[in-house]
Amino acid sequence: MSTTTNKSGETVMGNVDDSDFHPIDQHPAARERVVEVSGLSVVYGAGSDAVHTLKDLTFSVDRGELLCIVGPSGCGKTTLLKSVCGLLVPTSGSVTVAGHAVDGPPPEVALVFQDYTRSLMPWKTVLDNVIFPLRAKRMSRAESRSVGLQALDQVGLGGFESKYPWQLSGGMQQRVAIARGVAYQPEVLLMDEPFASVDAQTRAELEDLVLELRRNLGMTVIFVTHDIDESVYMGDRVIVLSSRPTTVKENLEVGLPVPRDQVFTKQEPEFVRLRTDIASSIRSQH
Amino acid sequence: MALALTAWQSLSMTGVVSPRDVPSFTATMRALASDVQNAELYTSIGHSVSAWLIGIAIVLVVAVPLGLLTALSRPLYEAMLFTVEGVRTIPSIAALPVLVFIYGISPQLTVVLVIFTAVWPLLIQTMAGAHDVDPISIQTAQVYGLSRFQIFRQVTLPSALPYTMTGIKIAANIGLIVAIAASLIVGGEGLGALIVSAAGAGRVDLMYARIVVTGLLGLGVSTLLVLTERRILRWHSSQRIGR
Amino acid sequence: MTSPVVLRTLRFGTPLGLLAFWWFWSNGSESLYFPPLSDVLDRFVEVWTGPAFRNDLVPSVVRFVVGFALALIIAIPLGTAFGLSSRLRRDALPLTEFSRSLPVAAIVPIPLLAFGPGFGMDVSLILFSAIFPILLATTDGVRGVDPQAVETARVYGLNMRQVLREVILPAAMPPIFAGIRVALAIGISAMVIAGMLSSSQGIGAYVILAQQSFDVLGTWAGLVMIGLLGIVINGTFLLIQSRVLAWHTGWRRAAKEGS
Ligand SMILES: Nc1ncnc2c1ncn2[C@@H]1O[C@H](COP(=O)(O)OP(=O)(O)OP(=O)(O)O)[C@@H](O)[C@H]1O
Ligand SMILES: [Mg+2]
Repeated sequence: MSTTTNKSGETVMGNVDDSDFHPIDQHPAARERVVEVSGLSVVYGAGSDAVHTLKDLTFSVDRGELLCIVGPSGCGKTTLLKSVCGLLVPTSGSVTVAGHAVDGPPPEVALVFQDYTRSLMPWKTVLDNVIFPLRAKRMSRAESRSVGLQALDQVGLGGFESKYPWQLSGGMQQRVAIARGVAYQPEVLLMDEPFASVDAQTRAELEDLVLELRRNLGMTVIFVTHDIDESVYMGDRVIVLSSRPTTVKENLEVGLPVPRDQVFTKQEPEFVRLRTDIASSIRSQH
Repeated sequence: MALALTAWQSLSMTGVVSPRDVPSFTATMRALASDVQNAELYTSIGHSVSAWLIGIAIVLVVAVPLGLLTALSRPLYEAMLFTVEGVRTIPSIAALPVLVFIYGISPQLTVVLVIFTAVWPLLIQTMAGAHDVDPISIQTAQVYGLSRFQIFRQVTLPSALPYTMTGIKIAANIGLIVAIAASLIVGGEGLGALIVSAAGAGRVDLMYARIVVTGLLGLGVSTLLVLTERRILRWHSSQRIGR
Repeated sequence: MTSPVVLRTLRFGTPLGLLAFWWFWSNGSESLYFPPLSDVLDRFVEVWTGPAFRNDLVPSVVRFVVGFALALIIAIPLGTAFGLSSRLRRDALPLTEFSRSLPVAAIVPIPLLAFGPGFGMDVSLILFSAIFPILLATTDGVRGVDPQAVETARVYGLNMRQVLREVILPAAMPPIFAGIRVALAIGISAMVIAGMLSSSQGIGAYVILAQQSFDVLGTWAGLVMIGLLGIVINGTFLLIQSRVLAWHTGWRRAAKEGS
């Protein structure tokens, strides 16, 4: 079932059976590519100091899909997300979001950073952290406030809106960052190893939270992780990246039923098979 | 920089400001060239600088040990904290008239004024350094059985050093300001008085030349201090890695 | 460990004790230059409820406020620009370094000649001496803003102006306040020095004239007023700072305990 993305048309055809499990994907023919990455290469620095990170990366993401990206540390996952959200100008290749070439942050995209402590502003309350992007778009105070409170409710932080982020635990801070992404109502939500620094219990809760939010809101999600189990558990599809210079190593459809369940999903033979595939694929590149 | 000098020159050449108020850059440089052959310039610099050096030396000897001592005695720290914070908000230059009563117009006057100005920032920085030691470092030292004095020497002193260096920089810079201000305001011997005498004689170009000299002196002092700090702190961090 | 009560008593008691000591020690003092504090205070009240209030105190305060406000208005935007553009920084650095290390006192004759004694001279001197600490602190503060905070704001659709207002300036506020505090001290000194040199109007002029006419009590009364001004101005500043930077105190404490 693994296939490269430039043949993703075939992938769609080959997985009609699986898509029965995906409420959003009920009309495969209507699939629409929201994000298209083609021939993406990024080189940091120049001359003898040049670091070649991404090399000729090509893949696409369908509307409503949750795509997981796994890869070894330092392979360029953050670099990839930064190119998609317009924070980084790629050395060559292009990224298209909702039909527009990316040159600067596209309005359809939001990003939850790897290091939440640095992307939450310590001088803003929890609510202000969530709604300042809405205020910047000239949404009224009252309206943005109600959107923000709803988003905080959705991530289970109702009642914490007037605290400061540094008064909350790590897991709660990451929820604030997620609430900001949700309140922004992006078409595409990028998440960069969002749960790397929270404990296992919180991590499981946050995984289910993201799955639920995206089911309810119908967002497209690109979810970067270095945890193989997490990628299979969360994803509709998993892309495995090689180590630097980074290319797409595997592109695997996940045919697991939804909603996923922390205990039962992980016992499915399909789950076990996929994680073994991915693990050996990652190991083989060293 | 070159732009600013060109602006200065054209400003007075084109007559936007009268050359009586602001002489041209070239006129100032000419005055400077003649002034550097004037022995009076050097004795004046000598007076200002020596008063400043003596004052700063006394401040160093008093403030650094006293500030560090507060790390050993909490009551001493508490007794000094608000007193020092309060006194330092009073601009020391205000004491100049009273000091003139006491010392007359003399070198001592400048020395005492420098002391009164420079002692507070150095004391405050050193006290802050002595109290901003990572508690984990102290606890580690305690666990390994170091005595109070050993902890003071091996933990408190090195971590207070950067603060003390900052304090010395501030103290030296503002000490120099008041050393020059003293003779500027009340007369006597010093670079300040020399500036005033040029202005009094209607030699605006000479006055500017001497202001430039003062600026260069200030620049020299701060550069020297930054270099010293770099040296000392490099030694300090290398010590740390070695340990 | 000494008990907290003793420590608190020491903290607040020592300055008060020193004042009380001064009072009793100088009581009945025959010394020419250290008159009894009670006499100084009597004269203080007499002077500053008299014409000197309008002729010296008010002009000094007004000039200080105007000069300092100008320094803020110029230094913060300029420092922000320096912080954002490394080219600007490199081009302007030698000039700012030189001007900054000019001992304020030395340049007094320039505005004295240019404006003559009075409002223009005092304001320009206060402005000149207060501007550099704020400028440098703002430059460093803006440079030190976490790039990820800026990136976050940009991904969430803020334009450059909004990023500046919502992220960069608030993040740079703590160092800017530290710079303002330094500038306050230098600015107050400049205010006094300006008055002393022009000897026309202002609190500095008042003390220097009192000194020149051997009015010891008057000199002391002026000194006490300058000290009081320093304390009031600094107190006001600390009050504003504790409001504006309330988040910063809590955040620092949280960071310290967390690590
Ligand atoms: N600004 C930069 N300048 C130079 N090199 C960089 C820069 N940012 C990243 N790199 C290099 O590019 C490579 C990819 O970095 P990136 O942060 O994208 O990796 P990552 O896959 O997100 O790693 P991790 O899993 O540790 O988060 C790394 O080798 C890194 O050293
Ligand atoms: Mg990363």
